[in-house]
Amino acid sequence: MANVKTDQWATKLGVILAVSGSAVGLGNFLRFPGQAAANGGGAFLIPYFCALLFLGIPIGWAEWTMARYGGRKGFHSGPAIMGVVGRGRLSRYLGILSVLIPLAVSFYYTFVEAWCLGYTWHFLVNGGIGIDPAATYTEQAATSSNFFTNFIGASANGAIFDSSLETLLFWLIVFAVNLYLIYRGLSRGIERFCSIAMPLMAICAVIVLIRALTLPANPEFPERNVVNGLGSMWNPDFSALLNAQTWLAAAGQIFFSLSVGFGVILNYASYLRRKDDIALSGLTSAATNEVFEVGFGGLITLTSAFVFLGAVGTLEAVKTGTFGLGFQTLPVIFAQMGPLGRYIGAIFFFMLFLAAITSSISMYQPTLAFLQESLGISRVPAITMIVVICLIGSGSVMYFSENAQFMSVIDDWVGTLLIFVLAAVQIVCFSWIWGIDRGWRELHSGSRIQIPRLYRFIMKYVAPTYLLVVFGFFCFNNLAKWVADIGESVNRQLAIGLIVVVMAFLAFCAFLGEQRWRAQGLDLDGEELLDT
Amino acid sequence: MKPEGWAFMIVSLAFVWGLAGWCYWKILTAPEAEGNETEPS
Repeated sequence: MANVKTDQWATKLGVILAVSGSAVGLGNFLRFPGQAAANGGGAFLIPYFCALLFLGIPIGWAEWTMARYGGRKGFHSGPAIMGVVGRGRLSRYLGILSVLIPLAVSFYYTFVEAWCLGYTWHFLVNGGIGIDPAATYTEQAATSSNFFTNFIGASANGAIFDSSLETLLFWLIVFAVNLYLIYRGLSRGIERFCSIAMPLMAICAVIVLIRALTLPANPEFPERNVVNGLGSMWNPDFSALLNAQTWLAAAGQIFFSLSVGFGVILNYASYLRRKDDIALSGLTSAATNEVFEVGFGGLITLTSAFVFLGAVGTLEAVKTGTFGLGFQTLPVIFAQMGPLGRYIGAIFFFMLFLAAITSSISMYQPTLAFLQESLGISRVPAITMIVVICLIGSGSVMYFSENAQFMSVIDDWVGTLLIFVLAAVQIVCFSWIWGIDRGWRELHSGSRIQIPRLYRFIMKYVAPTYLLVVFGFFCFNNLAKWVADIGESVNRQLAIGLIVVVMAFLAFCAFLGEQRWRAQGLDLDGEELLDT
Repeated sequence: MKPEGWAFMIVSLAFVWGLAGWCYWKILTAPEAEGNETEPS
């Protein structure tokens, strides 16, 4: 591409760790155990692994394949790659979602990242968030809840700008670190950072896991011990398998956890070379994510909660959701761990911070590539544009903070609903427009493994059908309420307005890019075939 | 924890750790593919 210097991954592990880092997030440690405990315990793992094998991994392979092919055509942005593989303007403009999703999610994700860093700081420097372990549980829970509410400014719009500005400072730090890493480039910034952060995250997880599994039984309630804590997560309730909600929850968890349909793989894998492996790399990234989710998340969170809260308290904690469990319940548990609690808490929140930052840097890179490609500008002006957009986006999330409604609208409509849409577009383009025969050949070009031929059938029929069924149930369960909620809150309406404005801006950039690419004689509609 | 709970936990952990271990073993032991030239755009 004119004016755009092509970046590349420096090592074969680089892209795997970067994609894994993008996939591993707070949900691995906080959302997964909650979903499992609420949907059949160990039995939840049956629909969960079905979704992994028939939905997550095949769509991921499709994304890796399309991205590397698009990269060979000289494109690294989702809209351009989707235009090539989907052969036309409709796919190209639907591909805007692959930029919108990571960009809009970054608006609130860096804010959450700032919470993780802030909690790490408080546990390390202040010994916690002011919870008195001698107080009653109700008082401790109230202290934790108040701290969290004040820290994220949930009491009123603009609250975090009125008080100590502490949260804002943490956000500025994480935003600056993110920008520095993407400014450094793919190999010197993202790859090098993930190569350090991912092993470090694993070390933190092992330390917290060892502490969780060696917690002494509660002297007042001997039944509250580690083994029973594991039981609260893993004891199977087979009747849950007869409930459609269980299968829906499992598919949703896999889907969002693996970062498929998010736009990041579409960008990251486009920097691979012609004969770089993608089949094994895609599988390895998914497997790494599963280690953090099932191997660590499935053992740490609920086990710790059970020892201190018991069965009923743990279920109540799960009902408070991902943020409630992580930022309100777990600090109470760390406060009970004695002198070591502050360090375990600091390590736990630092681990969450690493999980968050390896995800957030992946959210800027697709936008960076898209702005460079579509507008023909270099890295610095493109990053400047990202800074302006994110100051408006993240600034809005932080200012309109009352009850976190603004944030939850972006999470629901972009971070959840549009991911389904983009994944559906991707698997249909791959299997039906581009063609499963060509896609299969391209997937195996340079591959270090032979994927069972059964996956041709799965990628063409099973995955799209599975996805559409899950998407249908998902819309049936949520859409009417989401639409009704918009009418009841100005914050929610403003969030929808922001999403529309960003989408219109990206569509305009895509329009300009289309003119440029056509003028340069690039094959933007995928009419010329490359040998595989 | 019930015996079925232990069974689900052990099988699940063995699956994810086994899959990840096998993948990284393949990645780290396989030779680099040839013909990795970047096409002009």
